[in-house]
Amino acid sequence: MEINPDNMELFAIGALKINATIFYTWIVMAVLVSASAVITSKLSTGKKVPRWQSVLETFVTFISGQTKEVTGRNPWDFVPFLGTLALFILACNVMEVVPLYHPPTSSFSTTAALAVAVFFAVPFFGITQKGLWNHLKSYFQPSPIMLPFHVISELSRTVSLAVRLFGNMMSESLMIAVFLSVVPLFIPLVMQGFGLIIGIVQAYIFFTLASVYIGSSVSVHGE
Amino acid sequence: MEFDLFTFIAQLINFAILVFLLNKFLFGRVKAAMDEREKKIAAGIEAAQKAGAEAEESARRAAEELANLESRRQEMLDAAKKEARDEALRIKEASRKEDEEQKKKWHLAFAAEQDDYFRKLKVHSGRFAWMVSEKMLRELSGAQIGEKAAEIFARKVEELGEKEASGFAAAANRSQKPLVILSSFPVDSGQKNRIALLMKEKVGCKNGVEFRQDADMEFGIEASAEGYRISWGGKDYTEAMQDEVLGVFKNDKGQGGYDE
Repeated sequence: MEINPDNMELFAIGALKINATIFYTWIVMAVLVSASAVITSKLSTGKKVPRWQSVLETFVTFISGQTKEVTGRNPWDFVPFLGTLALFILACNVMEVVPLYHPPTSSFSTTAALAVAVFFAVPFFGITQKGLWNHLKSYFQPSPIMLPFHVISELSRTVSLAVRLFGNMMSESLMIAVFLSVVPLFIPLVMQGFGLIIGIVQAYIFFTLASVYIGSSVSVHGE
Repeated sequence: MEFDLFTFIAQLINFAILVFLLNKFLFGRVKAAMDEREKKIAAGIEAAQKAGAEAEESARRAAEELANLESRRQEMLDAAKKEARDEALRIKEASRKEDEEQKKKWHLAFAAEQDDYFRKLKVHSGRFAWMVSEKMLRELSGAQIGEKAAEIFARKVEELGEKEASGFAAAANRSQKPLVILSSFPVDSGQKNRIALLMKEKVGCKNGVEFRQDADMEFGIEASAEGYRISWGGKDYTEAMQDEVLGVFKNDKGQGGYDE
């Protein structure tokens, strides 16, 4: 039984072999973008707000509120990145309930890509918010001796981000697969429920940790 | 934990594309809508605050206006009270004057009625006295009272002084009309001729004499011209009787009766 979607080759575009991870990522992207485009095509600015717009606004307000609390700055500079991160991971995990679907987050390549994106986003936002010199100075705070520790910290937290999400989602998929083969009725359904909760929690954890990392990079030393 | 570099790079690219698309179709639009709504709400709050301020201003103006109106009402009330007091005094004064006028009218009317009463009393009592006297005289001496009265009148004419006679004649002749001799009784022709002759020769009346019987006259006979008068009758008696009657209604101090 194959549980790594990277190894499931679905089709090829020329020399590019499209596996399940990439394909389902496209599906998730298509769902998110099309749903967003449809819902936001007729946004109401009046007193009466449509239900789906209300859902989106609630989500966006939650993301911006959390980001503002963590960073202490104008959240709208970070919301597109952090919001996309949270929404993508959430969608990937929640869509696991769809039959034949393989969550891209159960692929280490995907979680590593997301973690690397956060890894690069941290200095990017740090430099754009504080300037290059101030950002570089932060690696030498409170003492130049701390530089290697900062570097190790950056690398280790990136790895931990990737492994944490991958481990949780892969183990969940593995457990469901095992239960399906052992007890095909009822128990897999319960595990699917647990899987939904785990998926939501993991999305929240990834988003929170990413916002904390970015928040720490944009904050001036001593803040 | 397998790692596929192609998938890793593809997912990085996918994620970058997703960030771009969601920023365009989701976060950007939602933020714009929320900002727009926030602006509307802020505008609404501002308008409400403005309306509230205007309402407070209106309430303040209304309170001022109310205070002014209350002041004006009090002034008008005071003026009305003063006017009412003045009007009451004026009406009272007018009423008092009207009462006095009415009282005067009543007094005049009463005096006129009193005069009329006494005139009638005199006439009736005079006639009564005349009838009684005529009857007594006829029964006692067989003489007519009218003849005696005319005789007494003729004797008074005969006994007139020269000065009085000339004054009377001058007054009687100025009118260019016959001298009228009034009597309460019919005068017989003999007496008429005698009196007419006396008036012409003794007194000097040139326009002749005319005898008339006056039903309203007290008993007696008289000739008058421009304030001059020759008469005989019961006028003195009836005036004494009038005084006597008036005296009946007065108290010991002489007050009351018809004089009040």
